[in-house]
Parts: sequence; C-alpha cells; structure tokens
Amino acid sequence: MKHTFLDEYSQIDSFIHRLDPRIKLITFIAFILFIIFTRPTSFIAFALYALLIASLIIFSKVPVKFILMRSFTIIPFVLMVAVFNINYSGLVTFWNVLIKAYLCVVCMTLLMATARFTDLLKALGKLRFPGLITMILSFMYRYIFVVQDELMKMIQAKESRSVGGSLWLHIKTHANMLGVLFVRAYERAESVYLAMCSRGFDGQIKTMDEFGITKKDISFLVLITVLLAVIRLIPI
Amino acid sequence: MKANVIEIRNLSYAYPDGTGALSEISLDVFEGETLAIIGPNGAGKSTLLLHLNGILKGGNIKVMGLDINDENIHKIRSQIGLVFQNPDDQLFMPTVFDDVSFGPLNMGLKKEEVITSVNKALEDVDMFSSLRRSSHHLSFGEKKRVSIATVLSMQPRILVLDEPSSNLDPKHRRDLIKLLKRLALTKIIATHDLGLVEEICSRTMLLDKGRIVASGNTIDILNNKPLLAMHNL
Repeated sequence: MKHTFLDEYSQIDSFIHRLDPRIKLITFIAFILFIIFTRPTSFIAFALYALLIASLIIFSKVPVKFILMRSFTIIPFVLMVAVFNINYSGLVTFWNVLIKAYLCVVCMTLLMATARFTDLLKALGKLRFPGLITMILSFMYRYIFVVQDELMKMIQAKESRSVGGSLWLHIKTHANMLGVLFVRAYERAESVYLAMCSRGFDGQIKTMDEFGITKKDISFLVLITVLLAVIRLIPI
Repeated sequence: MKANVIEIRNLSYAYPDGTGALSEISLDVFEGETLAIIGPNGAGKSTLLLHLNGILKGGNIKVMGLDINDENIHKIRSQIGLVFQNPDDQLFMPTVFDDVSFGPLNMGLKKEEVITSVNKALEDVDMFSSLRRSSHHLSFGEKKRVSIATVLSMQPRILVLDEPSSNLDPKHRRDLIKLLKRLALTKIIATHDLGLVEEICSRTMLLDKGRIVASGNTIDILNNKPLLAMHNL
C-alpha cells in the first residue's frame, strides 16, 4: 500500500510549525479576509501581501516548489471564473479574481503544510466549529485513501479480466464499479459505527490535545495582523 | 470451579432478512480462561461475538452477572473489549493516539489516567513509538496490534477477538500469538486458525450453521479429525 499524505511536510520542525494550531488558523483566516477586502487596484498592497506570504514560506522551511505546485492546481479553475468576468470595466475584475484567489490558495496551502490535519481539526473543535463537520472531515481524512485503495484494486481486477469488449461496455462496467464502491463504503460505515459503539461512543467524539498558547503565539498573531493592517491601509 | 464471567442461555438470532444465524446457543465462559470459537465461514462466529457486548440483542446473556440492557450497556462495553476482524473498521480515528484514547475518553477517565492507559496499552503491543502516526500509514500487522491496544486501553476484563490472525504473514502471526499469550485476561477468540487455537486456547467450541456441535478440551477436539473434516475445518 502506498503512503499518501494530505498534510505532507506537516512534520517539519520550524518556528511556524511549532505555533499553536488555533493561532495559526486564526492568523491565516485573517490573512485571507484582508486579501479579499483589498481594492483590486491596490497593486502595491498585493505585492506586499505576496512578499509577506513568501517570507512566511521561507520561515516555515516548506519547499517553495511544493507550495507552487499545489497552489497552481487551482489556476485552471480560477481562470475559468475570471474569464467570465471580463466585461466593460476591462481587465480589473479578471485581475481581481485571479490575484485574490491565488494568494488565498497559497495561504491555505501553507497552513496545510505547517500543521497536522488532525491538529487543525482539534483546533476547529476548540474554536467551537460545529462538531458534526469536524467529525465528517476526520472520517474523510481517515478513509479517503482506504476507499481509493479499494477502487484501485477493483480497477486492477477488472483490467485483469478485460479482453476486448466495446468502449460502451467498459463505460458501463466503470459505472457499475462506482455503484459497488458506494455500497462498500456504506457497509464499511456500518461496521465502523459498530466498532465505535463497542468502545462506548455516545454521539460525541472526544479527543485530547496538548495545545497551549504562549507569548510567541500571541506575538505572531499580533505582528502579522498589524502588518496586514498596515498594508491594507497604505494610501495608494 | 472458577466464576463464570459470561453466561449465555438459549440464544437464537436471525438476520433481518429471516436467515437463521444462531440457534439455541448456551455457553459459559470462565474467569481467566482462553476460549476458542472455531467453525467454517458463515458458521455464526462473528454474530455470536456481536451479542457479547449488546451490539446485537437476543437470548438471555449475562456479563459479569449483569443483564445486557440500556442501563448496564456502558459498564459492559468497558468490561468486554471487542476487536473487529478488519483493522480498517476498528481504527477509525485519524491518529493512533486518538484511536487508543477513544475508549478511555468515552469512559470519562481523567486526562492523566487516559494518557497512562494509552501509553500502557501501546507498550503492551509494542507500538508505543507509533503514538503520533496516522492509522493509514501503519502496516497491516501494526494495524492489528494497534486494534488490540484500542481495547486494552479500556482495561477490560474480557478480550474478544474476531479472526485475529487473518491475513497476517507468518512472522506477524507468531508475534500476535506471543502477545496473546502474554496478556493475562479472559479471552474469547473466534478463528479458523487451528494452530493458534492449539497454542493459546484451553477450551474450544465448534460452531457450525449456528449451532454448537462440540465443546470441550482443545486437544480432544483438535485430535478428532473426522469431526473437524465433517465441519470443513
């Protein structure tokens, strides 16, 4: 079985990785809000935001190439939205959608690369995010690759027995496989639920964390927010 | 005679679609013993195990002298550690620590107690160094061992295992047998791995088509080749 990571590089040790996940989450959300609420024509502000993110990336020791690769995957989607927004006011809306979406995605990529996914979930829980949603995300994190492996095995089993056959037949088979995959996932959910009940599940998942906010965390939050505010308020 | 920890009288069960799974099962499990439940595929072994902690209901079952009902269910589930056959079902939390602490946290233990029991359970199965790893990244043998730790952390009186050795390579199977020998608590093991039964189980019960067809000393049953052959073992 291959070892796939949703939160690759989250195990590195750096100043940013060591921050409390709650603080990190709040800081990056603040970052995104500042980016969104900046006038599209404040080109210098965007340049400064980019500079700030870039320096955070360097501090985090996450390979720049990884951040670029991950964040570029969003570009086709953004371009599609942006293209439909070209209108009489020229390219301003196009630029607006493109730069804001891209900077936000870089922020999120950096957040995902500097905190364990499980810690982010716990942080969301602590910040009173609805438990049902964090539970769904937690199961997604646990089972997405299990389901993927299952699909891969099914495809291999199908390929092993596929000799000839029309294209239409193959399409039909793939559709059936999706159905089977769904049924299997559903049945797995049943047995997982039984396993949870066997260990005393009562409707609420309880977890433990070792989070603690230190002076460093607070200074990071304050510093970044002040920088963002300064960039936002530059009169250009 | 040692005290019996589980007492089952006249347990019958049919699946919702009407297929009979268990009929007229009566069984006593005694403190400290290791009982094997053997039988071919579809004999009803797993169904029987699911009755022990009240996941499936029926018959007259007493665990540690307690009837299985809504009032006792949490107590019973903390006393009986049921490990499912597929570790991907048993390990549903994102990290090993979260999974092993799931049971103790539900039991309402204090933070320090939870940490102590999680550490102890993981040390018992030699998986302490994997505390922070995510279950998805464990090998199959490691998943099996962590699965056992997830119930050991609840400090159960009885350990119930469904096919513990299935899909394990010979080395991991050996390790598992050693581990099970080391754990000194009442154990019920459903399996068709007769080698494992011979090594660790003092008493064996043969189940086929939902009925108990034989029960007694492990050596006697395993030496009765015609009986085993008749029931596809």
